[in-house]
Amino acid sequence: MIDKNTAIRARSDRLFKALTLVWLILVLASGALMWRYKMTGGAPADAPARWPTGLDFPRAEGRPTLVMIAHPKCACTRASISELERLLSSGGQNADVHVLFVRPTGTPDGWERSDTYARASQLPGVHVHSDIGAASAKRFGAHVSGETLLYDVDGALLYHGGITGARGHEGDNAGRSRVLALLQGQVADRRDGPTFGCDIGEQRSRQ
Amino acid sequence: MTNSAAKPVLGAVSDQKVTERARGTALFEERFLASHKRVDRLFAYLMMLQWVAGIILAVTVSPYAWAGKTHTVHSHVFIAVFLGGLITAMPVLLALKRPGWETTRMVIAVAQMLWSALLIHLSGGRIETHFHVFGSLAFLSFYRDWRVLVPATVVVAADHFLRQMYWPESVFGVLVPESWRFLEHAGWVVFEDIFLLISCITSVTELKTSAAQQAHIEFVDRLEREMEIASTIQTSILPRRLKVSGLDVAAKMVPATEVGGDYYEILPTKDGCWIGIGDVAGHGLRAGLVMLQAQSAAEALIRSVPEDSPSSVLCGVNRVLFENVRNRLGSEEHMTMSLLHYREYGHIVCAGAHEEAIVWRAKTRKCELIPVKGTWLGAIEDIAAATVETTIALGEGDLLVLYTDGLTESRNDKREQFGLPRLCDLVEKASGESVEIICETIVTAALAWSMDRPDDDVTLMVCRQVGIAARAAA
Repeated sequence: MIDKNTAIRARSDRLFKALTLVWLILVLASGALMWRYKMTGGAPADAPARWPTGLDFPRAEGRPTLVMIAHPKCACTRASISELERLLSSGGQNADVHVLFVRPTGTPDGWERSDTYARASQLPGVHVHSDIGAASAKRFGAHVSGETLLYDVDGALLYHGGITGARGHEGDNAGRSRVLALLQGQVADRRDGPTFGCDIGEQRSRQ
Repeated sequence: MTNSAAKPVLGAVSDQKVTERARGTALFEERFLASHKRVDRLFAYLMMLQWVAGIILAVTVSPYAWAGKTHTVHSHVFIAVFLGGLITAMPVLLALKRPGWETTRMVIAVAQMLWSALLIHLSGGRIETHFHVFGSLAFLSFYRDWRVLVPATVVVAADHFLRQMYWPESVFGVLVPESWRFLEHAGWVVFEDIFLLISCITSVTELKTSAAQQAHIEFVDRLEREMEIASTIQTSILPRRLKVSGLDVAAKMVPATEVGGDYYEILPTKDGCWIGIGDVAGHGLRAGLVMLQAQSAAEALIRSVPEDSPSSVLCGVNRVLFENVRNRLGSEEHMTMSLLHYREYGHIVCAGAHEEAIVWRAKTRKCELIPVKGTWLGAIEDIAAATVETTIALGEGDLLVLYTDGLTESRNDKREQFGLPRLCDLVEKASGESVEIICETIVTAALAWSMDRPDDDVTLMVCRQVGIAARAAA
């Protein structure tokens, strides 16, 4: 009787160990898929090489201008604003900063005034704009929330891409490091990078 | 049928120690397993709590993915529900179906660290969420099994390795970290691991000590119960009826421990009685058990042949003891014993090796010492040659005092013995009292001498010859 119970127990143990192995494989596979999704950026911007015309706000004279396109309700915008805040507090305050919160066509007034809008408005030296119909975003060729463009004092494009390391993920990342290096007159390894965020959802057109 | 397992039963203290150690080990394993099961259940609840927290976090922080003004449920919500559910499922299943199993806590350790990674992901990499890693390691130490820290640390190390490969800034803050930066991060985890490891080992040691103490307490309790039973048995076989024709008898035994090794006996016969007194070497349970055998053997022999001689009965008792104690129990206990066959007209035939008998003569009001000749019982197979019978004649009012060496050799705080002269002196002084008072007076004095902490069992018998004159007159 004891031998029979021991055999049943041993068989059960083997089953649980096999289940554990399957579980581990499934978890690792799911984790890999999640990692891939998280690390895959949106469509890159067709960023103009020179400061575009027809904008509601002027380019700053005598200092670089940084523009961030933001979807007000995208979760990733929270991380982008956080990274912008870090950028400004760690040596990037010499730039004239504009954050354009896209208000898609057909949405009511104030739709874009989300928590991230309010948070961006509280950042010192940051100009926050409501970009109705993504008109300005289109002029910068942006497709994805979080797209950040840096123009030098002469209006030439220095950088375009995201300043977060993954979808909705705060923390040190290559994009922010590149923008900071360029703002401090240093050489960046690249002048572009992936942007992680929601689609701003308007027809692509650049003037 | 032969008995091949003739090991010394009475000397089995070492065996009992082995049993105590085995019980201590069993108690430790039982408590360790119970502790593992308890922590498994705690983690099962924690896993489910983390799952709910993960879903709430995803729904709160990133409920929707947007494309312009349209939105869909954010992938974080699906990840929290399905990946979180997957991570939770296996440890909860094992905690319910295989609580206490080693694999269960290893899976729980891995799952807990995976939950750290998932919560960091769902919170958008908030630095505060990274504290979950250190909290989880501390929580895992509840198992008091340092081995669970290994898979947990491996998961953290693997996470750091992958991040260093694909996204170094997320861990190290810079794009190209120095080679030693990995050691810095790993060092903090190892730092906590070392303290948790020490804590686990210390805790296990304490648990083992506690189990050993519990086993010892159980052992002592059981021993005390057994001693109590043995004491009750021994007390119950002492003679209750001390009325003998021609003799007033009083007796008292004070064992040094719960069970004594002294012996006294009164077995009335048609014309008098048999009186026995003896002392097994040492005291305690082993001595008490040998005493019981001697008492049983002597009583059986006397009752079967009441008119037998004391030397013949002693030889029979010796054969029983020698066979049982030496051959069967493999022990070396032996004892002194004197048997006195008293007849009511005051004639006593005695034999056996024991302390000198004291006879207080009513005529002279002085004590006489009567040597009793013989040898140890249970030491050699045949004692017939060494057993010599002696006769004693008691006159009207004479006192016969028999005692064991526990009385005369009891010591005071200066290590001075009570001594035979002091005993004789007390007998002479108290001789006018009843035998009961004489007996009580002497025993009380001896106990007071040893400050109520006798080193050995104390036994005293006081007999007074009465009725000779009345019978003669009749």
